[in-house]
Amino acid sequence: MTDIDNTAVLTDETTTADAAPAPAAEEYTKAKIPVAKKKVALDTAWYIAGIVLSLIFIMPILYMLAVSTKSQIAADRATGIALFLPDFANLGTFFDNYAKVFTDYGIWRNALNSLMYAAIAIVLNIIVNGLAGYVLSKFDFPGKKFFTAIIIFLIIVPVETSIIPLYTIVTEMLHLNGPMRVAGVILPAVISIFNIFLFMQFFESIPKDYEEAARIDGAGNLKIFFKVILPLSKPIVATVAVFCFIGVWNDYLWPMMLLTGYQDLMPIQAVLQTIQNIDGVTTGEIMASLVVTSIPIFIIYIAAQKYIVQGFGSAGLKI
Amino acid sequence: MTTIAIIILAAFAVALAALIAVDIVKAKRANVQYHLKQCIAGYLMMAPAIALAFVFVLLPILFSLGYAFTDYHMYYPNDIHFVGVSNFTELFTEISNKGELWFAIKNTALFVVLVVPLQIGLALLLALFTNRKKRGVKVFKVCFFAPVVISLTVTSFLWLQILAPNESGLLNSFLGMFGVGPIDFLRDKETAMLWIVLLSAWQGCGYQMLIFSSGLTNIRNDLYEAASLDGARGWDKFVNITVPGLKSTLLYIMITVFVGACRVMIQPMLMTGYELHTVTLSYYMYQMGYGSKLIGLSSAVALMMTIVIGAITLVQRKVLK
Amino acid sequence: MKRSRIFKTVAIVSAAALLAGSLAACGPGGGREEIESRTDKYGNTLVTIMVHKDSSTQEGKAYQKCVDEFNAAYKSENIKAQISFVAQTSGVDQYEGTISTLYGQGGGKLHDIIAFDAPKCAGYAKSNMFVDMTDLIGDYVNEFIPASVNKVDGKVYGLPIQESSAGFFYNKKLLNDAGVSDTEIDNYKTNGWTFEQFKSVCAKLKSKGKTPVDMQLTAKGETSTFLLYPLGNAAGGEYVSPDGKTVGGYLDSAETKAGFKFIKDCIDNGYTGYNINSTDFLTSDSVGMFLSSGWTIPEINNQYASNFTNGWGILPYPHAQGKPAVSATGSWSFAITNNGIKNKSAAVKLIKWMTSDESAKRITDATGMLPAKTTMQIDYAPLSPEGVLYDQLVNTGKPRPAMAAYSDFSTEFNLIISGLSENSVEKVLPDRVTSLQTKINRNDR
Repeated sequence: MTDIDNTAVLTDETTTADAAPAPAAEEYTKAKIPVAKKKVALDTAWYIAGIVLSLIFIMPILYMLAVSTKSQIAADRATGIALFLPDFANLGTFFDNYAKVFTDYGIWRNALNSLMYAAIAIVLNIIVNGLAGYVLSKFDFPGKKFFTAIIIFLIIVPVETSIIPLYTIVTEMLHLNGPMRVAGVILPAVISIFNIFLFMQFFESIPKDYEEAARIDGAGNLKIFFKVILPLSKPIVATVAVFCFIGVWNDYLWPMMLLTGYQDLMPIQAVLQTIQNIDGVTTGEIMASLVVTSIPIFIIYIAAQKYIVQGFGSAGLKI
Repeated sequence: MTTIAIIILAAFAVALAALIAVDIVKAKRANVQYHLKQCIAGYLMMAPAIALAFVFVLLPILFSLGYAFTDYHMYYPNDIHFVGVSNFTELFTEISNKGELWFAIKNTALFVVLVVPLQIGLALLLALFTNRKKRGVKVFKVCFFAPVVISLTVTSFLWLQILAPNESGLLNSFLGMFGVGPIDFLRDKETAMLWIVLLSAWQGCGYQMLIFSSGLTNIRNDLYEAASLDGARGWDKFVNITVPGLKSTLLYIMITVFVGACRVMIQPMLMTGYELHTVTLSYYMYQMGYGSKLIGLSSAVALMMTIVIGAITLVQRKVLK
Repeated sequence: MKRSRIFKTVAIVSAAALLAGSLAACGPGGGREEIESRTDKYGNTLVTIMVHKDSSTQEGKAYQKCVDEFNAAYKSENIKAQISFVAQTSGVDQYEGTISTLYGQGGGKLHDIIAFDAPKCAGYAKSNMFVDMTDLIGDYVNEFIPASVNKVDGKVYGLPIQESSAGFFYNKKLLNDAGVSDTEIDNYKTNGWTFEQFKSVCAKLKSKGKTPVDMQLTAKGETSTFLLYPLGNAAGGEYVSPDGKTVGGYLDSAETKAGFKFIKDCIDNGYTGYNINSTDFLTSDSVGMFLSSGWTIPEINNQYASNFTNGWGILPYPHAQGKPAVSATGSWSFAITNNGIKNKSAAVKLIKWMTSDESAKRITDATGMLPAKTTMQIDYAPLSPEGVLYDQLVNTGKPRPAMAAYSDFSTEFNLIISGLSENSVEKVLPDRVTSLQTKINRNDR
């Protein structure tokens, strides 16, 4: 677990052995050779296990990809291992479902809407929750304990709520009507108690020296936050951004309810729901639309993976 | 609605003012000085978060909880009456008569008891497995995380095909090679919940793996090196260094997985539909609110759930700390 | 010590204040606005309609077209119709959520006309959301198939947009191979068939090693209810009292039990079961018959035609010896709503337009469903799939029970069907009768 492996990593046993630190090899006593061999065997086992496990976990992706290329009857007839393979008998129609998703159902406009909502929500999310986390971690003021307690309480005791009061609040109290409803879609995604908690924990690990140095230079609170604290917090910012993106991208019930009658403003998941409820839509078309809408999440997740681990790690998550 | 919101806002402000006053009195007694300017700046910087949290988090919660004491019916939005605790007596009667709610509680309890250790164990194993500096680790991690990202519709489509009760099901066709089956896994009273546990743990553990991974990278390497010098073996190192090092991570994960497990709904909904042997509390609540339109009664279930879950998590936190 | 007590007191008091505030929320709602009529800035009378499909679907486009034609025809009378599309979704249904949220606000916020699924009629009508249009439309109601008109206590609350029925789709080759001749099939189609005849056909199919019938016992939700409820009625039974409030003596009457026993017999004899792959009938030649609704017709024509080279058709619902046949009906309908607008004359004009023969033709052409009007020229070949279904609609159709707690009925019906997998009818019913009665009482106000 802790051994530092500096050999080139290859699944092939012989090549791994070749790549072992060669210069010293001759000087090793014979007793050491079995150890090296054992290590190679362990590595190989590790890779095999890793590949098998990965396959188990990406099963739905393989399944989704396979079905997305099949006609309805081929999808229905597939059993056993064929569930995960394309329909080899009809490779000519491989991309038909995708063509239909893009031409007939036209999901581009809604994908752009979702990207825009997500972008706005991410920026505001980081500023609003980041500021709150900053104040709670670095400032001393009366009432601080109260706010911290509320935050911890809301995280460990999430209350079951229905969407109905939220709808009434947005439409009747805030009077967000017409295209302004978009604000009603974005704003609830901006506030996140959990993100305040993450920011709070992360900022606590930043030494006070940075802040004090900036303060001596005459920087104000906001300037310190944007110029000193945030740049030091890339991991947590990336983590929050990714999960905010996933949240906004996957949300459908709330925007659909709020944007009723404004088809042009609907986000991508709303269109997905519509596609799934069209009479006569095939499973292949549904899967093709799901593949297309999953791609951005994967790209963003893979790009930010390194930071996410650091983000959680440094936060420490002391609940 | 607006009037009530203003009343709540006022109550909130009074509570806050009182607490601030208490803090100031405390500080005075302890001879601690607050910097007025800093305090004002702090409140101003928190203001957007407080305002948004009040409107979009606190108000919906309070309204929802308030509904628990009314006869709110979805088709009668203008005809709501305060009914005291009669919703709760109704629910307790149903539990004592072993109605659907009793099954829901039983199934949820079974699910939670099984899924929490399983999912955490799987996540920890995966995190330990990927805690190596080798080429390919990142690819594995992305793979393990995949079910978290993929929509539940897809995963349940897939599992329905795997668990299909006839030869077309992947598992049954496999068992068929040994002359077993076909078995109707999801209709069987004993096994249906176990399959739902299994697929839920499989679906969710990638997320906790990520958090465990971060926890592992935080444990200082020199601790392991020192232990190795002392002749400690793998298991000793795990028990004496890894586990204590992961303590706060573990507490966090336990609480979040527990809370998430208590609210399980989508999996039974998509895998079996509303059946006595798989119905869960959240599903029951959903059915009552959106099926039977009884928002008042379903809010009462929500309130009960919140209290029970909250009490258990607080105990967990106390004990584990 | 002292300080912590202050803290606690403050916390408790503020929590109590919060709770009291939120409870006040639940007092009688704010008065609903009432207005005479709704006009736009040009002085046109506005009448609004909401449908449950997305505007991009064929059905949605058909509704849009009908509204456009209405506006052209009524331009001289200064009446203008506006249509909203709110796609119905599975899970938390946003269409239904939108209806009840808008209804709560009055003042014409809710659309003058809304589309709704037939079994929900009683609940909406009882909560006063729908207008009793018996007098408003007069004789116009006679243009529809009687079983399709949405009535509660004899009053008309909804007019059908289109209709659907269900029946036993059969694979002709398998039936012929099992010794069921075309004449026999045609005889069942024209004269109906009994439970016993149904079972003997199943026995023949079984002897050939085929799965006789997929009754979609595991279809879940409303599908199972819609497909199977006629069997209880076809045994001469009812599910609830006519006022929709009592279950005992109806759901567990000897006749209704006979209907469930017929299903149970088919399960016990291996004629049907819970482990049949729902696509097997469509994609292979292993299943003889398939209980499904009319929308499987276009599905077979578009996707699965290659599986039925020797042809296929639809057999009607069987019935108990000596009892009249009963078949499934009930699709989406239009209703006029009590939305705070007093003058309903424009709404009546629009609902008549949307259910006229021309509109019905346009909509059913788009959806492939059956028209619900007797005034329309119907030219289905007598024993064709559509012909059989239309014949059932007109002659044997019976809607699902009219009750405010319909969705609870559907839940309990599903629990009965799944309970039959392990237990006898006698053992399953008592619990479900108690449970359904409890739910009806909760819903009663």
